[in-house]
Amino acid sequence: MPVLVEQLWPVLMRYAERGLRDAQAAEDVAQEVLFRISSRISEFDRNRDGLSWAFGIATFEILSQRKRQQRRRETLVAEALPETGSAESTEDAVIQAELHAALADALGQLSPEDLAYLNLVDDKRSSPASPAARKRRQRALDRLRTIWRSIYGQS
Amino acid sequence: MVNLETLTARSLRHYELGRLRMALRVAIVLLPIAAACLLEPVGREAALCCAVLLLLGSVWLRFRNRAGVESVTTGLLAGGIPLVALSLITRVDPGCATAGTLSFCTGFSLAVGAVAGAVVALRESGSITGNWPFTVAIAVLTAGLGCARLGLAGLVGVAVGIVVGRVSTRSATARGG
Repeated sequence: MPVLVEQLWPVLMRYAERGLRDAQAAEDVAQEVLFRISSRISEFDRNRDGLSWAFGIATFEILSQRKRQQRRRETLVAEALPETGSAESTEDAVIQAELHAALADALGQLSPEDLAYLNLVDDKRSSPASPAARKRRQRALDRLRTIWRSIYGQS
Repeated sequence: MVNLETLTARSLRHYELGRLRMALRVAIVLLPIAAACLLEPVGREAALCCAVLLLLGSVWLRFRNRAGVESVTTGLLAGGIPLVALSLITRVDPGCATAGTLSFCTGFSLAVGAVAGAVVALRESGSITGNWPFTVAIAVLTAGLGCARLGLAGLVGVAVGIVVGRVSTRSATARGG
């Protein structure tokens, strides 16, 4: 084992450095490769080429390390970017407030019965789903649209 | 900068653990076979004894060296033949379990043992080399899982058959080759 480590370590280090271009990462990967080789060498088929086998393990570890580094970079970039979509801008908040005020204004011009059929007040008339109630709800919506258009036009 | 001595010590530790892991892997094959044989109500104690000795012996041989690995592989393959054959015959002819020493069942044990011995000899003559006493011991213990129901006569018959089969096959191949 000491002879194996002595001969294989410099080869693995150079290979890992060439593959990763980072001395610290190369040392970690080369160590990992050496330990994997040591743990599997008792099952190694002696008819095969040992160096190719060792390099195969080293290549796999280098590629895995590269993938880990790539994923780490992507995570850091994603964390550094500001959040978009969930937070409203000031302009959007103002527009929302104006729309709510306009709707409240239009609803204020509806009768209490119409508000009940639109499920906007707690009234017994709001619960039943009979055809008559559905018809009255539709009429209340039509009246609301008419009021809205009369205040704000067709748009 | 990594210390080469520390690296060597850690590599050695990984190597020993790797060897142990490889040696213990034989349990994946042995435990189900032993469990199936122990389901039989007759000869359970003898089969359990064979199973324990077989497991311990196989793990030790595989951990020891590569020749041990080959001995276990050959022994299990060869011993599997009488294991299956004798398990079947006790189902076909339950009288075998109580048959005397000089009976058809003992003769059958000898015959299948000889076949197993031939397998041992043929694998030795190939590129695979093990340690033949250990190979024969593993084969006998494997066969013992199946012939425990036949009693001592069955087990001795298989053991003698394996040895005779091995010797005669080796002589035949030596003369022919």
